[in-house]
Amino acid sequence: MNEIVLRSTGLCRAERGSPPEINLSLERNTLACLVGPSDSGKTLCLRLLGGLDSPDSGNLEILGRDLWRLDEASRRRLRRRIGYVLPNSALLSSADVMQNLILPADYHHIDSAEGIERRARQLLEWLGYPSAYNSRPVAELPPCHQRMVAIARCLMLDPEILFVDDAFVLCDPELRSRLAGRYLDMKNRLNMTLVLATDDMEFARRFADVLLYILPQGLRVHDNRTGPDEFLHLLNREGVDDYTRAIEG
Amino acid sequence: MDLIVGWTGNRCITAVSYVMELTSFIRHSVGDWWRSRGLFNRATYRSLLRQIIFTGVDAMPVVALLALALGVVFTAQLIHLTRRFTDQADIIGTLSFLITFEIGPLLTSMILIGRSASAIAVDLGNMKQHGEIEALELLGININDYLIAPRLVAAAISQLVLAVYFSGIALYGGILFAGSYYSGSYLTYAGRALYALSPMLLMLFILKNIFYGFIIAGTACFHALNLRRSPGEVPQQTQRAIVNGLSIVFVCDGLLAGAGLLL
Repeated sequence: MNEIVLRSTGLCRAERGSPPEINLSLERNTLACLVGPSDSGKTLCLRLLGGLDSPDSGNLEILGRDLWRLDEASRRRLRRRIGYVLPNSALLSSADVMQNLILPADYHHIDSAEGIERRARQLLEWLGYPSAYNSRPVAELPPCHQRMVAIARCLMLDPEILFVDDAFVLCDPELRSRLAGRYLDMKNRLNMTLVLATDDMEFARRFADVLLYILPQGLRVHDNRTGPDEFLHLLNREGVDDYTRAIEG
Repeated sequence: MDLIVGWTGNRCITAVSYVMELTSFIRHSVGDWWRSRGLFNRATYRSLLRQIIFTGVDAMPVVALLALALGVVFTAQLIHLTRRFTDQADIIGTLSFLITFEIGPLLTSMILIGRSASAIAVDLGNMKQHGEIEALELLGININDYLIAPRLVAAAISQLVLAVYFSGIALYGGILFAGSYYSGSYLTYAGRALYALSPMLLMLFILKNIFYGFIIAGTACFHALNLRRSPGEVPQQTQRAIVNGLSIVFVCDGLLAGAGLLL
């Protein structure tokens, strides 16, 4: 059995719009997709799972450590092993693409200055990011390019688990399929665990190992390896008819 | 009567708790930077250099202009007010003391508040609102170490260097004016100006300017990080940072002047 990298038990935050209790276990090398209609609380759920918002009750264990029981310095050290891409990418607007990528690696002394720059270029190339834009201020980039840079910035630190909110935000079809391929590469080749919040049901049903859906009763977890249609049956049983009809077409 | 006492008490408690929070914020930020040996971190070091260039180097032309004008104006006024009952040496000595210990640090800090404190508050405030600070924390970056402490240290260094620069140019302007007015030797005046500054005074000058620098950048960072997500808050907090920075610097200057008299 694979090592559990993310475990939440009774995770809950008493805030309007927050999902009810989140109980979830994810093994290493898993691709989990958090799906559901807009405004269903995907972002809030991901923020709780990623350890951005402190819960009012419950436990969150990431990479074997109880995140909210750690002191500030240990939590910061653990953070280096967890990547999190915010929905607006939140890159440093005053810096260019390369400076954004170099910063975290430079701060954590990952390598020499040349080594870090080489790695940044390799990552951008791997993601298929046009190298002509490397010295552009990020504020001038379209959101889909900002998203790629934000992912590359997380990858600079070699995270073991990556959370991406709005995984395919404002991507054209070509970029969407390239990004989808890279998410799969991260799981299969880099041996990472990914938790993606997305509206792209097609991607989720085809490639996700685990599907997560928020219902008023709590988070529903479905092992997609047993068959994607099972997930629709599950939602039908829960009475989420509008959404399942929309997915089916 | 009760209302006035209550209001005054309330304001005093608010002011004291604000100063305590600010002090703890500055201490915590510099402490984090010191513990993580921020000066030896490439990213933090670059951040410090950028801030010194913006706060210190870029402010030099405006400081020079203001200092030269002020040196001439002060000397002219001193000559006008005191020529009946004092000699030239006293005028230069008084000018040297006033500019170095009072006017130099105070006006430099006002320039720094106007230029840098507002820029720091807007910059950090926008970063906070756009989630950039949260994103940095998610990368395991200590904000105190990378964003706050370099600004505090840069402001302290810049305030000290700019105050020396301001005092030097203002004294130069004053000596030039006095030399032309009295047709005396510039070198003699310069010697008198330096003679008026004791080592103790110079030590106080250094400490005072470092302290002001920390206060100026500290209030700016403190208010910027207290922002929530409402877009209208950036100008509000910037204005608070400027007003509170000015108030603290002026009150401290008054207290120091009073303590100097008593001692």
